Amino acid sequence: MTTTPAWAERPTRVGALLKGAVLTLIALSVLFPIYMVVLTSLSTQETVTRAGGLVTVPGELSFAAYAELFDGGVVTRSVLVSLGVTGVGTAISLSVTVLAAYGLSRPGSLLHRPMLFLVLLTFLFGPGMIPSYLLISSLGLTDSYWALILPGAVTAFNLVVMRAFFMNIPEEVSDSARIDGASEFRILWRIVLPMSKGVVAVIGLFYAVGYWNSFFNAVLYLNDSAKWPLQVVLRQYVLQGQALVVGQSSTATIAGQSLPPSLAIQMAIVVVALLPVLFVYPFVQKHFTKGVLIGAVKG
Amino acid sequence: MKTPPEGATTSRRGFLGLVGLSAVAAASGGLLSACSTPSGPRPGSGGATAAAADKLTSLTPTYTAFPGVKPDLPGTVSNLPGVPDVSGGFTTYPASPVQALTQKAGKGGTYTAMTPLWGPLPPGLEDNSYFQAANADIGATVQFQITDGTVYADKAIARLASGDLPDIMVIPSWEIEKMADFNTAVDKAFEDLTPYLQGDKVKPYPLLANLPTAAWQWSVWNNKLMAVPFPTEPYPFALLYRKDIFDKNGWNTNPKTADELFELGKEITDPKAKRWAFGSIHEMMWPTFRIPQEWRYEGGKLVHKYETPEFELMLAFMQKVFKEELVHPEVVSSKGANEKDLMASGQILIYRDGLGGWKELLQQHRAKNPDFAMNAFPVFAHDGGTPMMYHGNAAGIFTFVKKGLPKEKVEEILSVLNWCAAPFGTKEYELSNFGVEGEHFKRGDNGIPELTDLGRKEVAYTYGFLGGRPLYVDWPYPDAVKLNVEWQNASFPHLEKAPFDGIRVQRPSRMSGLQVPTEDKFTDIMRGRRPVSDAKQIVAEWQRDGGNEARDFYMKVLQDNGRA
Repeated sequence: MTTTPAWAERPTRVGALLKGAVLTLIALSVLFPIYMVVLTSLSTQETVTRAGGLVTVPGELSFAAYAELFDGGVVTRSVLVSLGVTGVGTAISLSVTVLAAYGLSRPGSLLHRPMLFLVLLTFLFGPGMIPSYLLISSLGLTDSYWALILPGAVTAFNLVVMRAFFMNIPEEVSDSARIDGASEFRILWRIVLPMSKGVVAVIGLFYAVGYWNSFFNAVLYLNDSAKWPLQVVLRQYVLQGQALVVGQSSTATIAGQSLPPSLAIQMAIVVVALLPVLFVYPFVQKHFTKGVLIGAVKG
Repeated sequence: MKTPPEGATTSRRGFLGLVGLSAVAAASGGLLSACSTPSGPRPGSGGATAAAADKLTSLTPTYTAFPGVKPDLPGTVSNLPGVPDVSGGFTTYPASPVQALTQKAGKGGTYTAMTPLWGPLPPGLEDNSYFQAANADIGATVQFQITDGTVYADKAIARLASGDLPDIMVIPSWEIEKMADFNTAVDKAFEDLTPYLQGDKVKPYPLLANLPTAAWQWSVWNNKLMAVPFPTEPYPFALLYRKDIFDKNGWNTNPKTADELFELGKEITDPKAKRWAFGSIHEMMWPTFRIPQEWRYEGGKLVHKYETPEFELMLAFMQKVFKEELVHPEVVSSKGANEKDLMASGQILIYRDGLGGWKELLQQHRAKNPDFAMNAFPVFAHDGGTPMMYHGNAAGIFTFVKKGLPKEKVEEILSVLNWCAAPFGTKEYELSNFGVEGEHFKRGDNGIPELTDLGRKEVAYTYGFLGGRPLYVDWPYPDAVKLNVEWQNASFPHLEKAPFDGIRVQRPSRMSGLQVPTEDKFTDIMRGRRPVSDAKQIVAEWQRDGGNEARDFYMKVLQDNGRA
């Protein structure tokens, strides 16, 4: 059975081969760097030194880099912090975004135009680092996990996309529910949201990836390093070896063993930071095919 | 959020106006990176005010050498204003380190301290027996607020602007460079230490008195002693080579002219064997061609390094080196090529790096390859004449104390910093660098401390940033220490005597902004994409876009200091 539409020409053998080759090349260009990263993270110092950088040919394998990362509890703790911030943050961001987008998508809502204008304004003007710091500091949020969540709880882009999607849902559907006596809240919960699973999943993913990768807010607002999320802690490993700023780093060598290669550690960090996102994507991917921006274009 | 005590902080509104908002000022970052000793531009005295170190001597603490430790390999005492000493080196670890302080430094106070860190994060105070042990020895609780060393300026500026400051704040000089109005902010944010440390008042803090006077001179802002300095070594970089491979092949380890270096490069380079002579070397070619580090004063005029005839000679030489393909292709194609890995694998054999890079490579590779050895080429001039070498400032990092703390608190903090300033060979140094013997470290070969598993988890370079100490070469590789100190002592007489030696002057931001685009154009010449004759045009553009303006500014600084 062929899936070629009736109006399309049958692909020639050369065409099919070419397409296959191009797609394989594209896939390889994505997969090969990941292969190098994973392989380097599992390589010993000799292998890395022999390769003079990223490893492409497997040599002796070792988990030393991962052991080094997860030894001592600091990284493990930061994984928990990141998971917590990502979970709570995504829940808050999604709730606020859905509620605001729904309100702004109903033409009759109170002050919806000025509100929308304010939201759109944030596209044009960022707050700047020092005013943001002053605000967070005056709210008493420095050294609190809320400093990682509240400043970026709603992204104007996500709000606008979701609003456009909601506007695309036929008015008649909610009208009929209204006639049946449903409240606005009930309409949102029982009618609109079930019809918008795709956009909610995708926007949820955007938020989650944003929280998972958040770095700068944590550097800025958290003085207590025990509260640092994963990305900030991992970054410190990347900096290892740069401590020679004025030739002052510790004299000590490591008892009984040499340091795992810093490149292997760096690559292990890339793997650790990448994995959760890599695991979540396949589950949300099907919603991407529906196209989160459909609503935006039609709206 | 903790509210600072009444009067302990300046109003936030006040600060906003004071601290430069050009925080990220990427433009000025070209030369400055976390892994090189700061060189060239001096930390911010803000705008047109510049202070001559030789006029600041009356403010600095009286120098009293700490008699407890003496390096096996003596260094060189600097007679140049504002230029660091060569402190010398230790080829052995002292069998029984001396106790530098007889009394507890602290009086039980608790202080927050913000420091940069370039390395894995240690557990916090409650879960870290190393911090607890050091604090117990100090007699006060230091709570570190560790910050990523690479984005340190962003955080420091935000905290300065908000007035939400730690009790002790470490700021590297290259971050101060990025703060447009630090000269004003420093007064509002930090305590004037002159009444505590000037002249003989430093006596209660003998280890602070042991810091070189040149370093203290860099700690003066607005005619006040504002910070405890972290002394540096004089040299921003050297031309390092793989001694083990050179010795095996009998190659020339003492090139005396640029041509000899070029011939050496040709002899070494063999792409079939995946071996190239050079990594990035052009910055080391500047002093080799006797190009001034920044300005040359001659005939009543200031000439910038780009404008010198020597600069063109250097460009032509580098063009020849690139044309002959003596530089590793990865270094040619990528600014971020990891030259240390290439050195380690023997794919490049000569590159330019700070002396710290030498130690780092030894740390990474000596254990597995006992023959691994490096050295630095003796400094030479391109024409075989008198060599010249650049020098950095005498202090690279500063430790400030929050303004408005009661006198006894400031004194206790200074006493803590005094503990932190204990030099190599003392018990305090050992504790702050390696932790407690038997717990965080044990003695390995030749009595050199080696961190245990617990030490690796908990010990982080933190106390070391709170004030500095004489910068001895204390690597655990005696052969390399000897070579290093010999090189430093031999190079010292060739240090450039620059017109601005000892004057702290902040480079005008327009000139800083010009550096990267201008040097990118010079890179085009070196890579052979433009002819050497284009250099004149590039210089003319530089002069037009702010170079001449900078010259006027610097000229005024010279006149103000009676040097022109």
